Amino acid sequence: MTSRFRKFLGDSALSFPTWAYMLFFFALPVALVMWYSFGFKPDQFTTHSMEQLSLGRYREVVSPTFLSVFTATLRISIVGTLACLVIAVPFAYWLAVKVPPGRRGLLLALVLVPFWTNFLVRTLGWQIILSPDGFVSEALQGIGLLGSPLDILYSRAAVQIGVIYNYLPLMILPLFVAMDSAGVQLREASADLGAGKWRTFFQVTLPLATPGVISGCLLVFIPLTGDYITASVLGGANGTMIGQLVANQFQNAQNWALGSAMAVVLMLFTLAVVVITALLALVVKAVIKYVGRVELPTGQHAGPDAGTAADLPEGSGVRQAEPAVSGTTTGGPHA
Amino acid sequence: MSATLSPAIAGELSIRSLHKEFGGVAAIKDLDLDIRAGEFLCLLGPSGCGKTTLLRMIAGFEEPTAGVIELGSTDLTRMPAHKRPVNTVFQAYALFPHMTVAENVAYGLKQSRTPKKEIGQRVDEALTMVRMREFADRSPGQLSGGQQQRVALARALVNRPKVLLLDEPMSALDRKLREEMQVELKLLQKRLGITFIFVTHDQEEALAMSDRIVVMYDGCIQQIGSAEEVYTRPANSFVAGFIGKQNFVEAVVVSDDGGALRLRSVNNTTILPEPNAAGDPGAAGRPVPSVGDTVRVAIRPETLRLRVAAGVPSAPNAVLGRIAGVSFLGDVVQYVLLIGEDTEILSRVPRSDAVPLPTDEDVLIEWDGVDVAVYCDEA
Amino acid sequence: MPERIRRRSLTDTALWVWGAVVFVFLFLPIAVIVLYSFNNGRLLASFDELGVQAYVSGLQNDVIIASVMTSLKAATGTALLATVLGTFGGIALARATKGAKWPVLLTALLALTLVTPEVVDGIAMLPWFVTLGVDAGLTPFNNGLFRLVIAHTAFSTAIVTFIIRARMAGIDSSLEEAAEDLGATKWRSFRDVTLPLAGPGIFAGALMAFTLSLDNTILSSFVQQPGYTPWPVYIFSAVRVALRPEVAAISTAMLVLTLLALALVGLVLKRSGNSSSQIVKTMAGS
Repeated sequence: MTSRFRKFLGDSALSFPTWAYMLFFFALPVALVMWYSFGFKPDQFTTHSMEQLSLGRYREVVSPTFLSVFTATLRISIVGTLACLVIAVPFAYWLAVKVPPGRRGLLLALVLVPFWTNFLVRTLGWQIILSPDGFVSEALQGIGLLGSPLDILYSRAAVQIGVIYNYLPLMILPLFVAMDSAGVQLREASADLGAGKWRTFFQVTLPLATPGVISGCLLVFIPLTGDYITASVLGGANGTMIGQLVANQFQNAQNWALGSAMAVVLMLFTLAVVVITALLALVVKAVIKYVGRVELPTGQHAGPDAGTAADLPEGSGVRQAEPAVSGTTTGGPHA
Repeated sequence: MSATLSPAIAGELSIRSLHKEFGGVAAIKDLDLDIRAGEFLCLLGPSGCGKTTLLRMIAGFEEPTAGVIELGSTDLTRMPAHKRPVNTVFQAYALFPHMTVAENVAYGLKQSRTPKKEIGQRVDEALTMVRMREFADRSPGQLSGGQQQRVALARALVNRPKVLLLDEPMSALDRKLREEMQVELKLLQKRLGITFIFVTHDQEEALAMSDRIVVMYDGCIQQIGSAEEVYTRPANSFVAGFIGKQNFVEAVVVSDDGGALRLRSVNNTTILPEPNAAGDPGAAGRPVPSVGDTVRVAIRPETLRLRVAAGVPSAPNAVLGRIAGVSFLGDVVQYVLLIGEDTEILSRVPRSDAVPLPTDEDVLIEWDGVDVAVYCDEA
Repeated sequence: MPERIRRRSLTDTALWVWGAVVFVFLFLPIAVIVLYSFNNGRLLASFDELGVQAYVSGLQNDVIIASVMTSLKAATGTALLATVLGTFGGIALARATKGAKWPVLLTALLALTLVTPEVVDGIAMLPWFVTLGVDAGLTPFNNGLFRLVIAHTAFSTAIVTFIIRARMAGIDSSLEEAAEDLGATKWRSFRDVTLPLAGPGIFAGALMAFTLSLDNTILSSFVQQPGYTPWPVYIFSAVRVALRPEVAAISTAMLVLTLLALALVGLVLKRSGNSSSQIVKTMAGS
């Protein structure tokens, strides 16, 4: 490699294979899907045609069937994400704070075991558990809690349980990492300043874990919205998710144009939900910040009467001391 | 204003038979300590000596295995950290990164449900006191180490604690800044009258700031005293070696004439410690050596006198040595002296008193018996 | 010395109970699958009698074995390819000059692959493979195994890259400078210093890619070709017909193998001086 070429590429040269691969096998095909979404299906045997570009497929997408499936999917994924969050927050806190450090690694590995088990197989496990003639059903009837066999499999509720289960580890992990890296010292500082356990949790631990909450929610919400395997195993006919509709257009109806349009809509809506949630979170954060703000008396510090002169140990020479370092180079953990 | 930051009740701590074990290993061994109200007390010792554990038990982060900690007449021993009228300046400051400087300082006041207006005033006072008022809206990540430290100080002091604990707060600062902060901290403490308990492994820092120094080693208190006391009258050879520069040589007790010892050391040097002098054996219950014992003799480098040798000395408390190295340390000149083959000792002479000495022939090293300390303990 | 008083507050107790409940929740279906793998009956869901019949017939079932083998081959290929790409990408990202634009773009592109629903990857890959294989005449793209490896690599590379970037970010770049200072060429310092340092990250990344590929159902169901049905796709189609205990038996066997592999990774990382939390974080790519 000549030095001029190397200079042109700079230190990015090493990343070239990764670039090439991701562009060729991800960006290009996805761009192709977007392109197909403007085409149409000319006849029974052709998947798509691009001879006439239109937004017609998008009009087709916005059909009552699609919309009802879409709403149902959105409900399952939002409820699922929130449920994962509610389950994972105390759990991650327990793991990061209450469990002795020596045992933390083992327990974390245990959390990962289901995560590393085939998720279809795990879902099948739930199918057995929830089935009307399964052992849970029989046990519940046996102790008189249920009068008739358990009627939950192939319902929305079963789908909800299944997705919460399947995506829970993806919420626990980033939350644990965030709570663990905040470190014990800030919690001790909080206790030292008079905050009890609950206040420390809500004012220090949780705010510092925000990045973990965000990445956990994204890691759960996005794949969950596109998932239709869990739903079809546990929900049967009642478990149609939006991903299933998209897949059907490709695998059964052979209508790539319509399927592509659905996929684009799915992506855009997923993105929209994420953006709206992020904006909402920002507003909530701003409100909390505003409510808890500290208002210092203005102008007082500049005046000579505030007792400032007397408070400064003169001659210590710190007045001209170090300028503020910009950025985040100085010590201390950062959120 | 200083009155508003002063505690209503004096912070007088009494620690009785305090014991702490971690997994069966004792970190603090049956420790008794009385801390006077309004004093600046340093816990000094090498890392692992238990000083930080002691501090953390006072703060409430560790529960003692046994023993009692009392503040005035209040028993703190089992009181959770957040209920104690004690605040801490942490080693790495532990400023909340998601809060501004003002919010950090206001945190403690918010916990005690102080009225909003008062919070504003007190935060303003505290920040002004540490000269960080104009940084109120910055986030801690934007501050330098020294600035973070002053915010940490304001955050602790704004709560008007009875006792302020400082866990090696200077260790992250560079030398110049550290020395400036030492002065500032000492003045602040004098003015506020709050009890300061300061943990450090830096003996110069301890000497510079403390009213009293508690020298710790291996979970036990080795000596409690003023800076001058621990420096000039170390209770044992550990303290003698830990505080300040020290020359240790081994010697054998040749005779004991009613407490007046005669010792023989390297190159047949005769050492005559003056009875009742610094580090006198027998003082403070220390063991007295008997004739024939090997003892450790400590002589401070600055008490040695050097001059051009005029033959082998016949008088005691003098020996011939060769200058192996000279370093100019600013206010003093330090000589590394070689006695015999392998005994190295240090001598420090004020720059103004330093005279040119030959480096190729022996010089005469002299000292006074009063500056000799004799220890029978193994350290 | 008086016995230390151990008090646990109500919230603490609640947290420990919660921790236990979540673990039961996490392990319940796995336990059920393991239990039902010892079902000698004909249908998975109705427990007949205890036995290892399912293991015996599962291992003798050619279709099952073929699909497991397809999955293992695809996972191995994916692990290799994604690890090479991820290692180059991760090291380049970690060692990029501050302020350069390309790391931001590459990170964005990789992050995009992570937030794209899998079904979209699938429908994007299918026409693309048809275009390349049929229209452009690049015959490898008609091979089922090749397709699986290419598709799985596309979505595993991002995670491997991020794991290795995280690993390298924690390593002082002056180590490489030291090697060069001692006379090593750029290539030698990369081979002798950078790669061994990235080692645990590379290992964890490879394992992650392997498992992601092994677990993948949706994307595989789009790009699969006759004769190359991966294991999860086989299960998924079996769900629609009738589930036999063989599925549970083979899954249990694979779970045991996965756990052994995980323990191995943990051991390797522990050897390289990481704490247990760090190891799991590395494995999870955080």
